[in-house]
Amino acid sequence: MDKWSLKIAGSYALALGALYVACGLLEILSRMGVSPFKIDRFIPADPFSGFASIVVGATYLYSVRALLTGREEGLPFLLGGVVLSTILGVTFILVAGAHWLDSWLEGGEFSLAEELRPEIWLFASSLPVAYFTLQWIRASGRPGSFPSRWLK
Amino acid sequence: MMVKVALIGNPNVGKTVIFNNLTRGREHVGNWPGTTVEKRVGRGKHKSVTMEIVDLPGLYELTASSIAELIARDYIVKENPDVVVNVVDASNIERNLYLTLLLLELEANVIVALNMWDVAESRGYGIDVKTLSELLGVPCIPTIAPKKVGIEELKDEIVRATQKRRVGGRPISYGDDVEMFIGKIETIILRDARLSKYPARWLAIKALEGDERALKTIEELAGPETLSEILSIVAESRSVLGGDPEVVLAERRYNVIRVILERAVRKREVKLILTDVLDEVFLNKYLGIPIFLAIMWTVFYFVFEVSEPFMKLLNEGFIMLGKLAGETKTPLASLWADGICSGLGFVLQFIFPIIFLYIALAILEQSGYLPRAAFLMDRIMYNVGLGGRSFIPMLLGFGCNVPAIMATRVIKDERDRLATILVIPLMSCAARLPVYVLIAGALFPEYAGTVVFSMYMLGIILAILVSLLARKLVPGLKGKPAPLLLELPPYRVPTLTAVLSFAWRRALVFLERAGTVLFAGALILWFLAYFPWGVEPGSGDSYAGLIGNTLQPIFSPLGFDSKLVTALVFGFWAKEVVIEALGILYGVEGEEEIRSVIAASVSPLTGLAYMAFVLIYVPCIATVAAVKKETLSWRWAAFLVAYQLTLAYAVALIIARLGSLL
Repeated sequence: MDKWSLKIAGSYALALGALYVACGLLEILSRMGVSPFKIDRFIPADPFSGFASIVVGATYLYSVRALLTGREEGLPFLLGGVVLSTILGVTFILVAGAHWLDSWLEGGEFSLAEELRPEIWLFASSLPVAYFTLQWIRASGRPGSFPSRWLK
Repeated sequence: MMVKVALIGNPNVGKTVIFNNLTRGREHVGNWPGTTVEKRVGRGKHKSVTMEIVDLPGLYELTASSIAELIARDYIVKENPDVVVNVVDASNIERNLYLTLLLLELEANVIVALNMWDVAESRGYGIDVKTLSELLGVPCIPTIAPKKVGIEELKDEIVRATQKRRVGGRPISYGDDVEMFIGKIETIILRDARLSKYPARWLAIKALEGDERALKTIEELAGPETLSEILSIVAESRSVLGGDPEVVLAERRYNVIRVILERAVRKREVKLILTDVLDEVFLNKYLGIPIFLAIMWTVFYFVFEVSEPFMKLLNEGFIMLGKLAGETKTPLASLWADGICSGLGFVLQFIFPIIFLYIALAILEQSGYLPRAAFLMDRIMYNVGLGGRSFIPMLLGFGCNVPAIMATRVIKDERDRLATILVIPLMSCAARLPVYVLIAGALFPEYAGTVVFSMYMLGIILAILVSLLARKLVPGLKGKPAPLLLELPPYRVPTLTAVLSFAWRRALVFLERAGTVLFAGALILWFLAYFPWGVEPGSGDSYAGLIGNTLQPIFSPLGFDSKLVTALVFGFWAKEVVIEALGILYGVEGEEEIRSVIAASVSPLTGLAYMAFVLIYVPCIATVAAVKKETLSWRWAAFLVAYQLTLAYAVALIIARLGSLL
């Protein structure tokens, strides 16, 4: 993988990691009632999901130093961040689906805007990184070609 | 035509997935006679041959040192299956072939399934299957079980092997010095017809290794003279071989494996191994534990939130069923509506959180993350007096405490095992989940998932504290735990079929309980709450009310009313009964209604104390019985009940008192 690609990936990981950490902190601060912004419609006051977001952000940030200097050592953490943001994002999408089903059964209201938590849009923002890490895995981990008799 | 097929292999080699592929889910789960080790038997058909497939426990060796190994060994020797399919992790072939060699010594009709073929390839292994088959003297079939690759070929080979049975594979040569002693013992064994049902060479090798079970068998069948003759040869071998023959033979087996691999396996340089890459993150010194905590929180959040609409749907169904009986003016109509539909029906809806919890646990297990969690927790566990090996049984305790207590058999150190058994009931089992779901949903609707998660965390923290104290204070438990040796399987993408079948099997256990234990509980509770007939259900005039009123003063410092107390009493039967009891005692139908009643009559602080009490107080009767069975002592079972009751009361009191100060 060339240095420029790694540097771009590093910059993207820095932005994503910082956003995850910021959202996580705001979720915790909102719960404590000391949030500096009135954004509770978009960022829920939930300390545990805030903690989970900070962990995802920290994983991304762990990769930044190596990637920005063009070293591949940061890529595992970029991949780890993608895996974690996928776990979190998919969970919140499933939960949003459950809430929709719930409101449909009870005839209540369903607000898509409220369901689109930061974990979901940050997961969507992680998809380019997912594509990038997949390319890296494919390029580095492709099994070599053994003579056919060695395989079967 | 019916043939017996045994599946055997090391743990985490994909044996269960191959079993499911061969049986297509047609299986019967029971216990091996006289033990609590799970026995799975299934049936499959291929080319008009019906196969009875027995899934033997996962193991590394065939010594007599563990129950699982003895079961597998006895099954192969005594039941003499037509075919033994040895499932081998092709990506870890050196270690896995050790068991293969032991099976060949047992003269079993072996077929080797080289599973995880894709993982082996991605790790740079190229295996010459033909050469490997020739060297071992048995057929080898590459398989990728989750993708069903090689399964048809494996079935073909099973059918072929049953039709043309070979006896074992090529015998391993241990070198002239060892072979001389094996030969001498073998001659003695062959001389005695009473030992003829055992493979002579295998029995000779086991005797030379000093295998207690083999020596006992020789003594029982051939008499003490034959045994002493053999023991004198074993003693002679020690001086000639310059060490314990068991160690010498193990070394020679690994030499044989090395020679086989040199000829049949090639390894190329692989730049990237995905498992190593992910481990760098998930086992990271700083990130590992926060990631573990974040994943566990996500699991419980998912379980609580996603099961909610399904629970409501089932609940509505039971309310409709309850109304079929019309007005509940007669005992029979009341039994249907208030006892069965309101009580049992109410608890049945909690099958959804249980299914979702097991789906999440199955994903974590099959992805290979759970052993990593054990590895991560080892240092912490060791410092609090529990080994890392205790972590998996404790994690299983989140599902059900009974199999978790049985799973402590993997812990070889007796004191570590006992300490783990005593803290497992603090792991919040699936039966306690409905109580949290109901009360947290009623009293903390916005943070219900988080409250449920904190109950699980409270269980873990208490388990740590109890273990720490027990290892320092309780006679018989004092001392440091044994160090952890753990094999980390490669990461895998879990398959939908395997995850769903795992969750469904566990759900069936819950349904079975619902049909027996919980149904009986519903009938008894209904009787106690509605009789003498005509009193207000669950009131102080009912039998249940009498029980509650008698015990309530003890619990008044915790803020529990008589209904909550009565529900706790019945929770000893099974923890789900607490919920069933609340449904019947409050005399309302439907989850929403019960939530409203609880929200109106119980303060959030009392609710929190109540959840903590349910988490900690006496485990269900089945768990107490399992503790007695596994410790072979009523003393430890009684100790468990006593300490948990005291701890539950103390923690609930602290929550109630501290909370009221805040």
